[in-house]
Amino acid sequence: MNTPDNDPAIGGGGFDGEKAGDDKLEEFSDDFKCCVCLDLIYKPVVLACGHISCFWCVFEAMDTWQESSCPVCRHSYNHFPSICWLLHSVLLKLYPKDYQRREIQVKEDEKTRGTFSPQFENYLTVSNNNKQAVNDLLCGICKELLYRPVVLNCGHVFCETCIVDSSNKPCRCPVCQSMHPNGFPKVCLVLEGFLEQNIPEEYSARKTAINNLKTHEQGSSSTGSTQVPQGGQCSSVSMSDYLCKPGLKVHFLVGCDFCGMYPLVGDRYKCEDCLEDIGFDLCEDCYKNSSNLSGRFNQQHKPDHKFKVVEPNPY
Amino acid sequence: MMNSGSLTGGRSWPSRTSLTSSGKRIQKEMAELNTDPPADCSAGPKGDNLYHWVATLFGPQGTPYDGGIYFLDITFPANYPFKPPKVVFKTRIYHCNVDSTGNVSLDILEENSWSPALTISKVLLALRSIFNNPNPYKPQVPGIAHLYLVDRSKHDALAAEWTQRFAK
Repeated sequence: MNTPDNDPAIGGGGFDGEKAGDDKLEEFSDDFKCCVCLDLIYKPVVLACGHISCFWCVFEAMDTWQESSCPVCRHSYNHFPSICWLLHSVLLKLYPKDYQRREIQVKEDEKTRGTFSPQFENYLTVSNNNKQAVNDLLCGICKELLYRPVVLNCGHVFCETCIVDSSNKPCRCPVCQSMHPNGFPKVCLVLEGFLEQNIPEEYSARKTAINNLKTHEQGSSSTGSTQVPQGGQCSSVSMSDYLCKPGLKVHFLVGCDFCGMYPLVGDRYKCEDCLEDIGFDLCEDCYKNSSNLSGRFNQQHKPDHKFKVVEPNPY
Repeated sequence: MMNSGSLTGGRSWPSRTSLTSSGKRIQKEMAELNTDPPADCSAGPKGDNLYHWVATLFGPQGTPYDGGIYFLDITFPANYPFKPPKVVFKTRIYHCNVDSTGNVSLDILEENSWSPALTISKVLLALRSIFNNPNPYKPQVPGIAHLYLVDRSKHDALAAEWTQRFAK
């Protein structure tokens, strides 16, 4: 086991330093404590099972060689979700000081890594006002307050009912058109709990409205829970199927920068012009279907960059 | 997007988990153990090395380990919590899941079953539960497991004897 026995940086009683001064654990709700770093979640990523962790914590926890599984419930997944900017703003408003502390901490870490997380495109929409406004918590489809929120792989948030109703293929994001792999996502319970607690009146009004609508449509059989399609039909092929197929290309240690598939399976398109160490890669689907893609590590990828197909590294 | 695992070839950037992030996480656990210690056990760094801990478990009442005090060594890997800590019993114990060198067979400590959401506090809880419920179907010492299954009272007598001899 690789233990940093003799590292002077961590030995020598250095761990006493932070104990008293920096600990602000009691300031934020346990709901927003990342189960991996045990600190306030920074740049939240929501897995398909609805559990939230930090961008870097999810990245680190992903399995290099096979399907990854959620640290909390072990639900398996093979796509690294994008940051949920809605939750990011929620946290920024809820805990401005602590969130800033985390930002400084993570930026420092990123500098040492030389790899960066995506930057919030739209900081201006977050007002300085500490109060959570209903306007910041709207569903991308119905434009009303989120009810039973689900977060797709792309990080966009919708009411569960809206996503189910919007089309027969619930797994494509109505806002950015990117695929949500491996079935229908589960309700993000932490976000739901937050809505219930912080804007209880508006939330219960939404609940009543949606339930009324449903009983109106379906007669009295419905008890209020949404009929959610079971995952599978709209997923691409599951990773375990992939990995078993003989002759299929699996690019271990490489992920698609758009959909987040990791390890990348199938043809790998590598950008020849991106200079960042982490590189810029796309899977075949994303390469063929999308034109203007940004990297998930803040790469400065441009639409006129050239790609080449790369064979898997032999391991 | 390229990642680098804990292997030697093909990495695009040097270290996946920085020592600072594992160190921070261990510090957090230490703070939480201090404020909210689990029942009948304790744990903390051995000396000035954050990655080497010593833990103490008390044998629970109603088991042949009652009254015993068990010391354990806990070693954190550099990429903790993405890899499990290594736990070794330093006190001899007659238990089908702990061998003579102190190695423990506990599923959550195996690499495939470990989750970064687990903490030392949860590991201690799991270890405490094997005092009450040994798992003879996944033994570290098959002989003890066999005896546990076929002659429980003899097993318990031997375990109590070892508790007297080594753990008091």
